[in-house]
Parts: sequence; C-alpha cells; structure tokens
Amino acid sequence: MLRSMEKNSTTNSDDLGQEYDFSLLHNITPSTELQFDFAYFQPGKYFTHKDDASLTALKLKFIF
Amino acid sequence: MNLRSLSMLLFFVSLNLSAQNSNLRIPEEIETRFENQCLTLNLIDNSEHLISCKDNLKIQYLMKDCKTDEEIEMAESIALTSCDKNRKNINLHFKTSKNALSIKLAVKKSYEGKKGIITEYDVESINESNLKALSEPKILSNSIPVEQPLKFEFSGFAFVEQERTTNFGSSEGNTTQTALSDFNSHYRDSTANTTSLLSNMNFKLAKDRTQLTSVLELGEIYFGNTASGGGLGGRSNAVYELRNFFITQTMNENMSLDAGLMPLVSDTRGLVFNDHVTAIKLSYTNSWSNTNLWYGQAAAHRPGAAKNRDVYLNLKSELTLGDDYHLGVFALLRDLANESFANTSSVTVPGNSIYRWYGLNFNKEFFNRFTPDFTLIYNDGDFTSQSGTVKDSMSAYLADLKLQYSLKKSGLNFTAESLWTSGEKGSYDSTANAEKLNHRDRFHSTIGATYLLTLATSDGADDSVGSPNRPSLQIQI
Repeated sequence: MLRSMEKNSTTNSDDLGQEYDFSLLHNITPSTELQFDFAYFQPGKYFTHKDDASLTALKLKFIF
Repeated sequence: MNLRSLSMLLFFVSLNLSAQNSNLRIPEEIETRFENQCLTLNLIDNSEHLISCKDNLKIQYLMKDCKTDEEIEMAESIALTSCDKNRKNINLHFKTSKNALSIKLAVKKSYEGKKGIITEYDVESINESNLKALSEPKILSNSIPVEQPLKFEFSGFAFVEQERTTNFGSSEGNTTQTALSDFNSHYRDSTANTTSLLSNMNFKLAKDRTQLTSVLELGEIYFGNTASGGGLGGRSNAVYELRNFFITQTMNENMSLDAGLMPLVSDTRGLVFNDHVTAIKLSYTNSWSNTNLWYGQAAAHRPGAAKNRDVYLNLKSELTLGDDYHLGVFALLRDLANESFANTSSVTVPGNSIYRWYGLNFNKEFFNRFTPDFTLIYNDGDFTSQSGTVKDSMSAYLADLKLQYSLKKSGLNFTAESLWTSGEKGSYDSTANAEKLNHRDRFHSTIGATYLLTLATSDGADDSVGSPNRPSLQIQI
C-alpha cells in the first residue's frame, strides 16, 4: 500500500495518520474462538485525498 | 514493503474473554481448577514410559513475580505427585493468597534404563504459554531411550471470516497518478465484503532425535473470487498449499538443525522479514537465551515468487536478563537481483542490490501489567547496475515504541504504538515509476503485508507459524 503512494507536495508532510484497532476475542470452548475486529484509519497530511478507511471482521475459529 | 513514513500512530485494544481462566491459556493436556484460592494442575504425561513409583520425578515451582507483586503473593504451597501405573497424571497443587495469574515450573523426570539413569525430560522456567513442553519432552543429550517408537501427531485450525472494508485498498500496480496520491486506490466510499475460509493442518512424524513437520493449508478461499477457487465453489487447485515441510534434527540438549520449507523471522517483532522460505537453520537454546543462524532462498524457492535471486542470511539472538528483561538483537543480509531505479533522465536502470539490517528490541513487564517494547533498526544497502557503471547506496532507520497495559483478571489489553522511519524526501520518479538513484533514503522491509489496517485482521494468517502446537491426535508405532 505504501510502496506506490505519492507525497502531497502542498503539505509536504510526513504524517501518515493514525490507526485505531479494537479486537474482541471470546473463547466459546477450549477449542473454539469467536473474534471481532474493528480498525479505523485516519490518513494524515501525507495524502492528497484523505478518505477515512475502516475494516470490520467477524471470525469463527476452530482449533483442533 | 518500502516505508516512506516518518510517523504513524497505532492504537490497539483487545479483550480476551475465556470460559474459564482468561489468563492461563493452557493446552487441553493440562487441566486447571481453582478452588478456595488454590490452583490445581493435572499434567498429563504423554510419553510412552508410564510413570511409576520407581521414577525419580522432581518438581519445582515458582510463582511469577511473587517477590514483588503483591497480588500474586504466595502464602503457602504444596506439591504432590501421584504415582499410579494406570494413571499418567502428575498432580501439582498450589495454594495462593489470591488467584495465580502466571506460574513458572521446573519439572524433571528420569528413570533407570538399560544404560543407566535416563532423563526423559527436564523442563525449566516454563510458564503458561509453553506448558505444552511437558507434552513434548525435551530430549537431553545421552538420555534418549533406546528404540524410541515412531510418533505421529496431527493438529490444526480452521476458520470462517466475514470482512467488510471501506476505502481500503492497495495502490500497488495502479499507475494512475490520481490514485497514487490517494490513500485508497478505489473510488471514494468504496466498500468490499468478503467471506474467507482457511484451514491449516499440521502433521509431525518423530523418531528418536529427528522430526518431520509439515503444514498443509486447505482453503484460503474467498467466496466469489475465482482466482482463490471461490468462484468455483472451491473446485480449484488453488485451494491447496504446502506451507511448511522441514526436518528438525536435535543435536544435543542445546542445539538443533532445521532444513526445508519453514517459517522464519529476522527480528523479534518480525518487522523486516517474516515469511516461509526454503532454508537451513541452526539453533542454540539454553535457559536464558535463544540464538539461531539461518540461510534462506526466497525467490524460486517460494510459492508464487519470481525466479530472481533473493537470498537471506540472518543471525538473531534473544536473551532473558534477570527478571523478565528481554533483549533481542539481529543482523540480516539480503542479496537481491533484478531491481530497477530511475536515473536523472527518468530512465530505469536494472541491477542488483545488497541490503543489510542491524537492530535490537527490548521489552520488560512491570507490575505484571505494563509492558513497554522498543525496537530500533538501521538499514543500509548498495546497488550496482547490470553494466557495472552505475552504483548507489542508501541508509535508513526504523524506530518503534509499543506500550501495552493488561488487566489480566478481566482479559482486557490496551496497546498504543508509534512507528517512525527515516521517510523519503522526493526520491520517487513518477515518470519512471521507480525510486531515484542517489536519493534513496526509505526504510526497506521485506514482509508482504502492510502495516495499516492489518493488525486486527486475519490477513496473513497463512503466513503464521503454523498450527497450534498441541497435538489432538497422537499415534505411536
């Protein structure tokens, strides 16, 4: 993602931004996990277009 | 991945809820029970040698931080051993003033064999995270029972994940400048929904001092995505992948040798290199250090990689100093062929590079709650064009500070992390779509994943070390 980005020449800033992550993990049984993830990213002045990004995920994992 | 950033802040909060004790994540082989502020552990001995009253079973235990942490003060302790030929349970009983959050044990088991006293295992300073060692006894030099049976183990995991992303994409491969200047390579407010399936099967075959480990990945299917098999309902060859296939030879109680396709990391955090490649690795472990030296070939020896020269030589050492002071140092060298950079005329110049990384990591847990973790890495490299007429060098750094606060009783963890790199100062040539020669100052990291928006996801799960190391099936022949 970062490899091909081009710096905003107007701001000339190196601030990429801030990321907030929240993760909730529940062991339903000793062999089963239910995980909820939420991540929110606020692009910094490095970017020309600063669209906020987010990710939400729900995962059921069976460990055997 | 090349990092251009100077600063980036990450905030991570995780909550771990467990049906039983949220802090002691103990394999099924070890049963725990809290009653009247007492902790009872039933350690199931899976070795072929039944425990008998003739065995010399020595058990030592230590409550973690009991000298300094008032909440884990041990008022009284009792250790009991059950010697029943028909029951392979080692029963330990601890009495604490409050619930024990973390323990350290030292267990030694020996018996009289054909060649004198045989020590079957001697595990020291283990904690809740590696109690599994008890089910996989450490083999000591000159103490291997004669004619060990062939052992087969199977374990793994599988998951189903539903993921929704907004304005989350990669600009890699997109050559339009409007997209390159944006964080997102897609249209504004674009969203994506994916359902992914992945299973990871871990197989182990062991005989005496030699073990074969293989991890077969079945799945990583994204529904609707034909390339992953999802568009065909999984009816595709793409859903099978060999992740690990390596042989481990135990030399003695401290040294082991691994060879084959295996997971490798360059540094404590895996910030520079964290991948599966064909390699040979020599490891040395004692009670206070873990050092390994490995040589790996990524390209042409790694599924999906181009057949270019991409060779690594890595030395990593992790030391435990005093009470939970953890220091990690590493040095990594990468020999990479077929890189291209832009000259002053915006023409790309192909050539080969040598990159080097030197770094250290330090962390310590305070008050059984607060853990600062600091990483500093220096990176430099030299480039030589294929013609040999153009040479260039670069240097960069990465610094990372992570602060973690854990409320262990509730399973709530707070993490704040900030990462800095030396960044870039107009080193990119948009016309040539490459970095400019004599202007390179960005930090190089070879990991395939991005930093942003990946910490809380399962992205890269197939690059994990493998299945959980707790065999669900054991067969001895």
